[in-house]
Amino acid sequence: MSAGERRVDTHGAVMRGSPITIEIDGEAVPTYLGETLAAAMLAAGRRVFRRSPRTGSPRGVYCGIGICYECQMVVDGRTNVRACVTPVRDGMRANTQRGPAEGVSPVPSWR
Amino acid sequence: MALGDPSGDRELVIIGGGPAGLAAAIEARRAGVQTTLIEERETLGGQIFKQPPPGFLVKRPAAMGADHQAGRRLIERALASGTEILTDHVVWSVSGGLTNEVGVYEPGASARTLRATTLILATGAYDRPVPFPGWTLPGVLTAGGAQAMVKVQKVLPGRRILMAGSGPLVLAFAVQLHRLGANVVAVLEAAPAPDIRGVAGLLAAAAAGNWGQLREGIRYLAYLRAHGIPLLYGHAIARAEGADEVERAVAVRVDRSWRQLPATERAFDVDTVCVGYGFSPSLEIPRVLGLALGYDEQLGGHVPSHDRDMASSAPGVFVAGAVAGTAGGAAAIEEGRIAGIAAARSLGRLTAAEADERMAAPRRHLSSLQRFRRALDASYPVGAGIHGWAAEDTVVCRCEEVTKGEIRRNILPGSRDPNSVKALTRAGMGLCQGRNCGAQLAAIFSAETGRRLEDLPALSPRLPVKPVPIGLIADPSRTVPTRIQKPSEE
Repeated sequence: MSAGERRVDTHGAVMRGSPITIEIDGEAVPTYLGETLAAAMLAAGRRVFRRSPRTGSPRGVYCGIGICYECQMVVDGRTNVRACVTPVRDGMRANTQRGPAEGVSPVPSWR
Repeated sequence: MALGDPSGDRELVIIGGGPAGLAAAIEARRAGVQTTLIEERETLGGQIFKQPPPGFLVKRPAAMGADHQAGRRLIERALASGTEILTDHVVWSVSGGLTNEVGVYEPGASARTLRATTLILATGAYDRPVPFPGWTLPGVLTAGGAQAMVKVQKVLPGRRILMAGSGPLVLAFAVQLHRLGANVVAVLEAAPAPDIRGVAGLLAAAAAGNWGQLREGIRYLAYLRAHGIPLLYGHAIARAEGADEVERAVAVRVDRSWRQLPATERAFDVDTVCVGYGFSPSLEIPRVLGLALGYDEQLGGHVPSHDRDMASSAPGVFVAGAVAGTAGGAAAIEEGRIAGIAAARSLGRLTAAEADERMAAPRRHLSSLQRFRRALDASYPVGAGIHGWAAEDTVVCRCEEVTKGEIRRNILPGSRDPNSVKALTRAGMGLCQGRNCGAQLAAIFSAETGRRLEDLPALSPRLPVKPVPIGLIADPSRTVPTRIQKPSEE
């Protein structure tokens, strides 16, 4: 996605929390308390949250409300963390989740 | 912590802290019912009345919009009602019977079991998942997900956005995104432009106390026109394309039943596709409880059956709001009120006459709202073609990465229902528990076998209904009862 400000100007209606920094795939990313990890990712122009286990295909935020389990990342060493329902914390370390592409049995074909 | 420690008996447990759940709690408490409300998120309000996250500070509530303020008022009344409110609590199991048992856990804390004489399920709905080529690419979001991102998190999901869907919410959301600075390239409406009968129906429904809703819709249309955003009737999303994220999207003309018409494609240079083709009720808990379900494509497929008091097929279990197929916060509130009053009556806290009196006003408002909904549904009927937008190599089950072709090939001559395909392919077995692929799996099964969708059973429910850390619920001091265990004598 192209660069540029993705945070909406609320014209003073609502104030974001304190500015903090988190680490995503080793890079420092500025964010605000109250934002979810998914919001911090999208605001930074990052849209690939994980690679799927079987085919390694890119996945990102789909449902955005915690039911689809597509936006899973590795957060502070914990796997399968849904970024869309996980608030950021100062010093949080998140990584793109890469599932085991090997050793997964293919879907059988019966005809 | 032990799974077997019932932490007290409750007269009423409400699952879900959106408009229906909150309204139910207020009415139940007003009748003196001992009430507990469980909400999975940190904040109350559900999707429609979703409040800013903890950490954000609202400076000018008036500038936050009508939904925010209506939600705020409802939440404050629920908080002041004496309801025990458990936010950040996930329901992972339920069981019915003489008393209902609800297994909850607090992430990072503990698990426990609540016992309830009556239950109100206000578990809401989610955007109907619609598989099409490229729908797993980052940059394809549900309209609801994109809206949560913008409305609550105040972050735009993309720069150049194609809206694809059906119904007035799609218009509303396109306008909202554009006002906030997103470039909405076009809006695809699958339904044909409203004809004279549709318009007449809407006018008649509006005259019955719904002018506000009609005016709002007209304002959205005017806004799109004024800002040069094309609204393409009879068009749907065909596919999203790109290497690692959306780089372009292709629209296609559809007929009245939403079947794609060949050689009518049109490409858009966008980085984001928002998809909003209505909602599917969140049915995990109704299914585990074995509630009778009806099938209505317009309501998102399977929906718990209920009477006019919102009572489900199980004694003491009520449903309200989007899980019952209801659209909109206002109707959800009225259904929640009716369910709360009905629960109070079944607990003996209200006489039948008192309950009738309290239900009169919500019933009147609800029937007026339902009239408008029926008129809208008549103008925007969901076309059966929506089940056929995936290609052979489209991943249908996002979790287990099973394609439409793999599903088709595993429908064997003796396959009785979609559950057999689930067992063979793992489609529907992932972390989302089939929420995303269940409907499509059934649709493919229906197309292959000729059996009607409404006759096919939904995928069998499995506990836990939400993933739960095993350490939270495992209790070595308890033996697990199994079928071969002999009944113990007391």
